Amino acid sequence: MNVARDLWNHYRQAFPQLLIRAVVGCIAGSGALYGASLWSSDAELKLSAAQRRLSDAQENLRISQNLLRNARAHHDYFISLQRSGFAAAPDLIAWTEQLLSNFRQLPLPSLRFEISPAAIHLLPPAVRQMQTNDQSLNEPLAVGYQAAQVTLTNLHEEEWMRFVEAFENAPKGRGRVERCTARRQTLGLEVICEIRWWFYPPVR
Amino acid sequence: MAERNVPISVWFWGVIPPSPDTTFWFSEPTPAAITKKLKRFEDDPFSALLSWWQLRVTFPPSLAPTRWLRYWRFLQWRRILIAGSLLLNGSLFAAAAVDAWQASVALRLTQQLEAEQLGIEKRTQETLAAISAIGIPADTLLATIDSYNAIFSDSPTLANTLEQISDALGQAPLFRLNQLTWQRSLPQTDLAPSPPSASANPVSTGPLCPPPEVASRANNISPRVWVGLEGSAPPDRPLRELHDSWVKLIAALDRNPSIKVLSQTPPIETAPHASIKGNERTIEVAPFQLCLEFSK
Repeated sequence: MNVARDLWNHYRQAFPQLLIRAVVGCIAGSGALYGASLWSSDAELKLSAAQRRLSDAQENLRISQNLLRNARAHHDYFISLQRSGFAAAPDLIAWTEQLLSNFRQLPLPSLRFEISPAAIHLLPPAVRQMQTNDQSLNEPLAVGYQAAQVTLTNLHEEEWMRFVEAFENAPKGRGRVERCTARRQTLGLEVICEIRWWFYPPVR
Repeated sequence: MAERNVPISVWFWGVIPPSPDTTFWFSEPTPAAITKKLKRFEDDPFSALLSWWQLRVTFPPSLAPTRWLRYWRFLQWRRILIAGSLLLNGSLFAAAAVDAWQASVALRLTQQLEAEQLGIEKRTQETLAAISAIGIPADTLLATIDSYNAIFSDSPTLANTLEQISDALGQAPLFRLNQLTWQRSLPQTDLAPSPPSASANPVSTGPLCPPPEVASRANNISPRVWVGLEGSAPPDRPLRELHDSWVKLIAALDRNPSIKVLSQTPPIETAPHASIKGNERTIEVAPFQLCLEFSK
């Protein structure tokens, strides 16, 4: 009986220690959980920030790649315009030679021409606004041109069309027929046309 | 209890009498109340274990007096405390371990994303450097292209317009063209200086085409072409035939959706207020005039 009582006393005395151990363990576990939660939330914040930065960087890359693609397309277009003579300095000698060459190659019965000094045509801002969807482009766009009045006599309709086609598709200069007046005559048509070689930037 | 070596009168609850071959025991089915209260482990392991633990906690192991059971109660509370604290602390530490694992994974992912971000930023810088390397200022590039597109926009061509006029005149072969004025409209600001070559063509003696009110309104950006026609009709044809041919010509022009007749002067006026002159063979026919607008 004494043994049982000793055992009982031993356990009764050990119970508070056991309770303390349990409570300490619980507090330690709670602390560990709290610390781990803090660490985890901090890491999650860092992760979300990194994801945000990454998505921003990806968006920037996409924009810059689009810009590059757009710039390259514009550059290629610009180079083709340079080759056609539009984005180049006006070359009156080459243009005149090309006109005379067309006249000889077609051939046409007669040709008289009078080239006027270079002039400037102002395009309204609405043209650029419509092309670029950019409403901030409020300034008119100045384009240079060299106009010439060409008179062709004793001409057949087909010769007239061939002359226009040869002029507008000439390898030198970017020219276009702007207006024409044709009158019937005894031996054919008398055609007076205003042709223009366009170029940019205009000559001041 | 029956005393030893004393035969009992009713030992078996059934009606089968004992014999030398019968066993000394019978298996009785478990009472329904017990079956209902105590689940078998094979049938419902969770409830069976729970009931077992409940029995261990709630029912004392014997019917001994309370003071004898104090130690047992103490042991029960000790078990509960140890098990509970183990469960609680285990859960807490497990949750902490899971959180820590999540945090470490997030940190590793963060490092990977940052490395990827650095790579992307490097590519962005390279792309921007490639844009800068093009060498032509963007304003020049855009202005050149815009001006080219505006000037050389898809407007009707001379050959195309003349073909359409020819088709319409084919419907009324009586009429003969003497003069044609073809003019392309260009978008132009009001501030634009009028160049010497842009004035009216000196050889043009026909009516103004387009009419001034149309030309003043046409300062827009849609490409169009104006064509002025002047011609004659034979004076020796019947009046009705001339009239019908003119109506047919105008109808043919109106049928073409890209042609708009801006003004017309027929070779003969047939309105009630008009006058017609002629003799027994011919009729005085005026030169007809047409002003057409072509759009793409």
